[in-house]
Formats: sequence, C-alpha cells, structure tokens
Amino acid sequence: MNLLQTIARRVFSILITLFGASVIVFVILRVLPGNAVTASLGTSEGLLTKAQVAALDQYYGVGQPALQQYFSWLHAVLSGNLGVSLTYRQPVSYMLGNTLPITLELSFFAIVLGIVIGAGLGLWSGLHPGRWPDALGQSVSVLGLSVPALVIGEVLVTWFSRQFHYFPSSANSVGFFTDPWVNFQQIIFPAFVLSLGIAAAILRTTRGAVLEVTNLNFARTALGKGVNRRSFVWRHIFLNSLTAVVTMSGIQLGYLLGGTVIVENIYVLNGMGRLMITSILNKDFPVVQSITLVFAAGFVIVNMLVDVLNAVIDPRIRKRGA
Amino acid sequence: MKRTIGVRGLASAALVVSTIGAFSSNVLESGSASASVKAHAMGSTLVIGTVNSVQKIDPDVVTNFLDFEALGLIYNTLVQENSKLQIVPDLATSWAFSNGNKKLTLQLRSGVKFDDGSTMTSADVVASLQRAQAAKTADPSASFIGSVTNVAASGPNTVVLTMSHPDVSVLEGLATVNLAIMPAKAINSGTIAKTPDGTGPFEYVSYVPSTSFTLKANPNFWGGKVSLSSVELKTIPTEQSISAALQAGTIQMALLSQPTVVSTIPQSYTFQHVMDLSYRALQLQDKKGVLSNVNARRAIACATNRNQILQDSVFGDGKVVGPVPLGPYATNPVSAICPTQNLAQARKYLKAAGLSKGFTFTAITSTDLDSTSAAQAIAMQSELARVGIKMNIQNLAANAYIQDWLKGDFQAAFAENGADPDPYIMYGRYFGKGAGLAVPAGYSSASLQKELLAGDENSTAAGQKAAWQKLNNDLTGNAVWIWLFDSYDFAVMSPNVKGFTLSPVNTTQLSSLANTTLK
Amino acid sequence: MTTTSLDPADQVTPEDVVRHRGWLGALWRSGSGRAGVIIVTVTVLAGLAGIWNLTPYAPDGQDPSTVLKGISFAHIMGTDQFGRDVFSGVLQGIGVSLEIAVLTTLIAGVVGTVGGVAAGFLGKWTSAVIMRLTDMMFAIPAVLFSLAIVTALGQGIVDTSIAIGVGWIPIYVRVVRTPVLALRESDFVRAGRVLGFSRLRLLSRHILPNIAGVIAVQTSLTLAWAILAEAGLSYLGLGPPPPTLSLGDMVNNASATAGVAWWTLAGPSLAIVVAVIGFNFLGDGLRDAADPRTRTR
Repeated sequence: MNLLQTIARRVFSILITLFGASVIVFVILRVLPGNAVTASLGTSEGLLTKAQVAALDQYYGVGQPALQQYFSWLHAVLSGNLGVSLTYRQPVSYMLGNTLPITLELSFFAIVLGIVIGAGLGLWSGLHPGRWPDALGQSVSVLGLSVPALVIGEVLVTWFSRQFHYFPSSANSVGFFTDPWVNFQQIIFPAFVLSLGIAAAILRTTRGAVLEVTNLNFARTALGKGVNRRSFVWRHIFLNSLTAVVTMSGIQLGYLLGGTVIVENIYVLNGMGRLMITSILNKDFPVVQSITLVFAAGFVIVNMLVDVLNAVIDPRIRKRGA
Repeated sequence: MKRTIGVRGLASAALVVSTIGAFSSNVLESGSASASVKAHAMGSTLVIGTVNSVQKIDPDVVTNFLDFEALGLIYNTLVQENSKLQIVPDLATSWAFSNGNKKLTLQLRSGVKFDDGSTMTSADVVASLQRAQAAKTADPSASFIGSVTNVAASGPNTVVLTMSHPDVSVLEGLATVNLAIMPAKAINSGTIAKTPDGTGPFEYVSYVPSTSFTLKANPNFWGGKVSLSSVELKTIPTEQSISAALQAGTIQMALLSQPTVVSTIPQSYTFQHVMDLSYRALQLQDKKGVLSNVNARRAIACATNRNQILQDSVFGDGKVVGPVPLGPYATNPVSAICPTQNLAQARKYLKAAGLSKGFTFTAITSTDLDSTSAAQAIAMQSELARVGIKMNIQNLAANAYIQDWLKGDFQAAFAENGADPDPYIMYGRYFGKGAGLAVPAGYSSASLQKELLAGDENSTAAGQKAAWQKLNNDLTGNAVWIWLFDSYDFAVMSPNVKGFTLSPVNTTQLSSLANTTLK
Repeated sequence: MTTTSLDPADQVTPEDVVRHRGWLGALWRSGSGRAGVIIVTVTVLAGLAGIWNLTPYAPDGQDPSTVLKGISFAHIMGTDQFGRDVFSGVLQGIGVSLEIAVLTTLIAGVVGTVGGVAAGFLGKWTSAVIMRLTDMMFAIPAVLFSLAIVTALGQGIVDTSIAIGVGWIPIYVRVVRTPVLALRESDFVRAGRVLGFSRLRLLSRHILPNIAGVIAVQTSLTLAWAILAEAGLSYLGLGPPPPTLSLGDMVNNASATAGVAWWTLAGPSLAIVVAVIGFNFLGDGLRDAADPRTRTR
C-alpha cells in the first residue's frame, strides 16, 4: 500500500509536469507576434485578397480563442491524433516518426560513449590522484566542458571532407537494420562530438565520488589490511560511486535531448532538434507542442529511471556492507 | 563496468539499439532511402544540396524560392521566360491579344502527357487557372490574372482569357509555377495537393520534409529525352556542410548564397552564378513625417553610396540596380538622380527641403529574413551621416518585421522583394490603382498609376520601352524608395556535371537539368 | 568582539570572523582557484580592452591587401577574408560575450535566487508551487525558451541575455533552495524566530550571507555556460546582429574559411575555451573555498 501510494504520487506528479509544460509552451507561442500564416508566407501575405486570407486563417486555425485552441489540441492528443504540420501539411506523427528515432539513436550513442569515456577515465584518475592518469582525466574533462560542440563538429567535418573526402552523414540516412555499418558511420561522429561534454561532466562526478569513497574509513582500513585491490575497487568503490554517476548521467541525458540541435545541423541529421527550431520559427504550433510533449516526457522518464536505478543499486551495496 | 551490472547493461543496450534500429529502418524504408537506392541501381542520380527544404508540394500555394525551383521541374506553365527574360512558348505554342488587349487567345501544344499518362487538353488548362483564381486556394499569384474574368476552352487545343480591362501583363504573369498546368481529373479528385502530377521533365517520386525531395525522369517529356535518371534535392542545413558534402562526393551540385563559402571550394569544381530575380531596397513611407518631403528623400538618395553597401553586405557579389533589376526594361541608369554618390547634390536637396542641418529617421531591418540587411543598414548609416542625416536602425524578428511591414508601421524598411522582367507585375501591386500592397508601398500618385497602365495596355515594344522609362524616372526622380542592389545566386558542381546552366528565373532556375548529363 | 546586544544571533564569534575572512585565502590556495582567478582576470581585461576600443587595429577595419594572412608579428592571430585583424576582433568579441554572460547570469541569478529563497523560506504552499513550476521549466528544452524569446523580442545583447538567462532560472532555484531549507531549521534562525525577529532581518543577516558561497559557485559556472550558449545561438543565426560581433558570431563566420585559413577559427575558439575554463576553475576554487575541510588548513 505504501508502494502503491508512492507510485500513484509519482505518476500524478509526472502528469502535472507534462500538462504544465505544455501550457507554458502554449502560452509562449501564443504570445509571440505573428501567426502561422505570416510565418509561412512572409511579406507575400500582402498579395492575398481578403477572401484568400480568410480561407487560410480557417485552414491554419488562426483567430479561434486561445483556450479553445489549447483544449481542442489536448483533446486530439489524448485520442492519439497529433495534428497536421502547418508548414509541411504532413501529419505530425509522420514527421515525429521520421525524426525521433534519429535523435534517440544519436542521444543513445552519445550517452553510452559519454559514460564509457567519462566513467572509465574518471575511475582511473580517481584511483591515481595526483599522477598522470589524473592529469589526463582532468584535461579531458576541462576540454570537454569548454570547447563548444560546434567547433569540434565543424573542425571534424571540414577536415575529413577536404582531406579524406569522407562525410558519410551527408549521404541519405540509413536505418540501423538496413545497413548497420553505414548507419554506424553516420552516427558515430556526431555522437562523439556530443559525448565529449557528457563525458566531461561524468568524469568529474565519477572522480569526485571515487575520491570520496576511497577516503572513507572502511576503504582505508580494507586497503591497509591488504585486501585484493582489484576486486575491492570493483565491488566497493565503483558500486558506491555508481549512484552519483547514474544521477549525473540522467541529468546529462535530460539536457541532451534538447541539445542535439547544433550537431544535427552540422552533421545533416534530420532529428527532432532541428525540427523543433524550424517549427518554432515557422510558428508551426502542432509540431512544437508535440515535440515539447515528447521532450518533457523523455526528461521525466529519464528522471524516473535514474531514481529506480539508484534504488536498485543502493540496497545491494548496503547489504554487502561497510 | 563488469560483472552483473555490465552484462545486464549490455543486454539492455542491445535491446534498445535494436528497437531504435527497427523503428528507424521501418520509417526510413518507406521514405527516400529506398527510392534513392533504386535510383542508383537504375542510372545516374544527381544529388543537389540546398540549405532550405522544400516546404509545400502544391504549386498553387508555394512562396519560397526553392519550392518554385523544385516544382518547376515537375510542372510547366503556359509561357516561360528564357535566360534573357523574354517570354517564350512553354505549353502554349502561340498567342494573340485582341479586342483592345482585353482578350488573350493561346494555342496549346498537342501531344503533351501528364505524369499519370493522360493527354493535356484545354480543359486541364481551364481547370488549373480556375483553381488558382479560387479564393479557397489562396494562390499568392492570383493577382497576376486578377483582371481575368473568364477562362474558357475554345476547342481541344485553344484557351481564351477575357480581361476586365486591357492588360498585357497577364501574359508575363502566366509564367509562374503558381499558375502551373495540372490535370483537371486530379484537381477535381483533390489529389493534386498531395501528389504532384505535371508535364515537366521530371516526375515526383517522394518527399521527406526537411530531408529530401526526389524526382525521376519523365520518359514522355515533350521537350525531349532527359539524360539523368533521377534528381534529389537534399536538405543540408548549413552552407559549410554543403561545401563539405560536395567535396566528399555525396552531392554533385551545391546551391549556395554565401560568397565566403563559395570562395573556399577548390577551383577544380565548376562555378556558376546568376543575378536572381529579386532586389534590395530601402522602402520609405512617404505619406507622413519628414519623409513626405520629396527633397529630403532625394537627399537620402544622393548621399547613399550603393557600391559601398554592395561591398559591405554581399562582398560585391551582385550589381547595383534600379527599380527594374533585370530584363528588357531594366533601369539604366539606375537612378534618374545621383546614380552614384553625390554629397554636394545631397546637400543641395537638403537646403531645398529646408533641412540644411539634416534630419533623423528610423529604419527597420530583419536579419531573420535577410541576413545581410543589418550590414546594409550600417553601411548606409555611415554614408548618410556625412551630410548630417541620422538614420537609426532597429532590428526586428521576422514576424514582428512582417507585421510592421504589412501595416506600413515604419518610416523606412530594408526590404528584399521579388522582381520580374515586367515592371507592371513588379509595381502594379504597390503603386497601381487599388493596389493590394498600397499600405507598405507608402506612396501613391496619379502619374505613377497612369504610367503603369500605359505600359500595361500597350503591347508594342517601343511603346512599352517608352512607358517604362517614364515609370523609372518617376520612381527614382521622386526617390519614392531607395533602390540598392541585386545579389548573385551560386551553383557549384563537380566537374562531371555537364550541360547545366543556372537561370535567373525562379520557376525555371534548375530546368536545364532536363539537358544535364552526369559523366 | 562582542556587542552590547543580547541577541544571540548578533554575537559575532571568532569562528565567524575566520570563516568570512578565510575564503579569499582558501580560494588562492586551491590550485584551480588560483588558475581561475588569473585566467578570469586576463579575460576580463581583454574584454574591457575590446569594449574601450584599445585594440591594435580597428576590429572591423577591412584591408584588402592583407586578406587571409596567417599568424605574423603584425597580426598575432592572422587576418580574415576581409583583411580584418583576428586578434582585435577577438578582443571585441570577448567584450560582447562577457557582456551577454554577465547579463544572463544577473537575470538568472536574481530571479532564481529570489525564487529559491522563497521556496525554501516561505510557507509550504509557496514552496510547492515554485518547485512545481521549476520542474515544468526543467522539462522544457532550454533551446525552446531561447528560440521563443529571440523570436518574440528580436535579436540584441539584452534579448540574447534574456533568452539564455531564462533557461537557468530553475537551476538557481534548486541550488539555492536546499541550503535555505537547511538554514531555516538551524539553531540561530529558530532562535531568532522565537525572539520575534522579522523575516527580513533573518533573511538579510543570516540566510543570505550563508548562501553567498553557493550562489558564487553557481554564478561562476553559469558565466562559463552562458558563453557557450551564446556561441550556440549565434551559430544558429539568432545571436546579436551586426555590428555587434560576439565570439559565437566569429566562430560562425570562421567555419566557412576554416578549411583554408585555420587561424580564423582558432582565434575565437581559443578565446571561448580559455574564458570557459577560467570561469569553471574559478567555480571549482570557490567551491573548495566554501568547503570547511579545505579551509581550516
């Protein structure tokens, strides 16, 4: 009964967050000047007669009171219909279906690379504080945090295309199952660029956590007593630091979902980040609202997963104990 | 990350990846990936990289340059403009005005097939033009045939347009893809908005928004055999990445507008440029405030250094132009007063205006809509300051600018407007009687209206030339607006692309692809 | 140093004195803190040089005779495609980027701190509402906020700052709320409440000084991040328009010429990296300084 209460509370709070986020975005978009008609026609709107403008207004749903627009959108979403894009006149679900997998795959590889590089280097440097692995770890961390993704991305693209005539992601996107090798080549560079920032953050967290744990009494005592260092490291130090790492990874993934835009632009990936930008500029409400929902849902799910994961990790460690 | 967590982690990772992979491959299979794979298997595919994406595939509603170009490969119009901007036959082989230029009769080409296999007849032309005129369609070029009260077929290969008043500009107006010829059947069944079906050199295959627009050769094209088997317009969001893709070989042609990017591509590639059909100008609201004083405006015109603005904003890649930038009636000299900067003359005008100490006004720009507009403004600002005219600059977001522009809520606005070889089409909508854009135009005079009508009603070459000369003198002599320049469009291609010529007309800019070969 | 007041909260103990005086020393003693202070000082000086036009050449002085020249004594960072000195442009760019970063941090910091203090100090309902709002703002991608604001307000230094700053408000709220919550339950605050001191007094004398450390750390990190965020916005064409040239604009322009003239990209990128590193180190140093373990040495 307590578990049920906790779950119910959690679900309720998630729903409120999603609802609230969609309202905030809705308000922001409505407040912006202009509407979808202006955005799509530009100054050519002046060429239309009143009758034509009236026809377009009706098609784009301009002029309905805001509250009505929001609720009709909400109603449609709850019945599974995400609407039609005002810019491209294609169903929003089709456009999301095209872009979401790419962004997901990109984020996934970025976070995996980020964790592998970051946690690996962080662990290594935390276990050898003050010596050269630490210096290497610190430098990677610092560089990963400070060099903008767009610089790294541009440099890699320019260099590889000029010198090696190699720019796989500019060819048509290939699904993972259609041709895994090509797909991998298309994804790995942008994922790597993205992963550096993530790796940097995870590296610091891991290193910090490892240092803390190593300094705890139980660790000092055990190591002093001459316990097998390697197994000790894995079983106690790493697992104890894991919760911090997992939390940080969750935070990074949350930010990542919204931060893929630049990399998608440089590496020609038709992902949701890019779609979001063009949709905002085109005042394409149905698309922006739907993307917001997806991102917010993703963020919330990741947070939940992190909490669950930490809860799973922690009791086991406590059982083996200090 | 070993032991228990490691194995489980890898297993779940594999699961996630395969789900993503399955999802993405399912979705993308049905999109352009399979189409391009097929095309590669068949013959030669030309991939063109562009920054923008095709947005709409219904020719009657497009307004973006790229949409015009793309749909211009699928559709034809009754007449077209050649690279010298003269009107030439397209789907109409000949035409004649009669009844005092109030009736236009066009003879249609016979044996032209639509992509669905049906043959084009006058019924299709009538249906197409009527669709464009319908208010529900909201066709931005409907005003070009605004004077047409009736479109009728007179036999299977003849169409007659009846106008409410003498109007020769209708002929030129028919050259836009907004007035493309579509099958009556597809119009009536409503499928034309979703599935393009035209008579042009290429047929529609598929469209993935923001990614690619794929076409294949039309085997029954009336203009002759098309060598390329397919064309793909690929969206690559930054010009640097387009340049990279060209050098990596994943695209064979790049459509660019930034001279800096173009200049860094190795010389082994083929470069082309044309002046596009648009112009930059500082539009003025001449009905109120200090700018209602014609000599104040003339002072601005004379203090402006158009060449400097051209240099500073597009690095000289373009030409200084007057009200009509291209075509047989192009404005030459570009201005009746001070075609080049003349500060002494500017000061004389200021004196005549009673403003010897100069004056102040505000100009709006929008770097969202035209990334060079702020640079233009800054260049002009420093020149005007030399005679004591202070121009304040206000940069607005796209939507804000558009709203202000439409409402005429500005003193001066740096604008980029579409051009046409026919001055009536260009300026009838701003300065003609009952003009739709009279508010942003900010100026009206009986003499301008007369000059526009005179040019529109007169169909002799000499008469037109004289009429348009008068219009140009009137527009620039009174400094109605300050016309600045027209910039280049660039196409860079791999050396194995042969037979391609960039055209200045938006609907047909890429139409030489019909004769292009890929070695 | 005792006062005549009987207010226990007014008793300043020797420990307090050490605490407030010691942090500067601790900052300097910490390795990253020292590096951070030095780098940030250099960066700020460079930015001021840019703002006050103390650059070797005019930043937008075009000179067709020195187009795309590499690094030399005359141009220590080379020239760009218009013959403009990259180093002068970078100095000006640092100035603009710092302006934006400072404004961003002010906006996020002031609003976020007020929100965090309110959430931690005021009643349960206020706290719940503020935290819910914060959660919702977190769930919305920051890019969306930035874009929406730029679309609404236009582009300019202030607009860009608001656009980036809004996204950081929730972080400040969260970061500030935790210590405020803890402090609210601390002995001297409780005592103060019992004695009937006004909330304002408690806030200004006890809470704010004690969260100053946390705010300082977060500010330093936000400054670093704001520089990166501005570079990203300028890359998408949404940063401040010309003639203002920020570091992000320079990187954006340079990516076209980077293939043939690497220094055009290296100059502004290096400036961004150095500035961001500096603020990050400063943040680390402040964090070390605020940590009692490192201070009492």
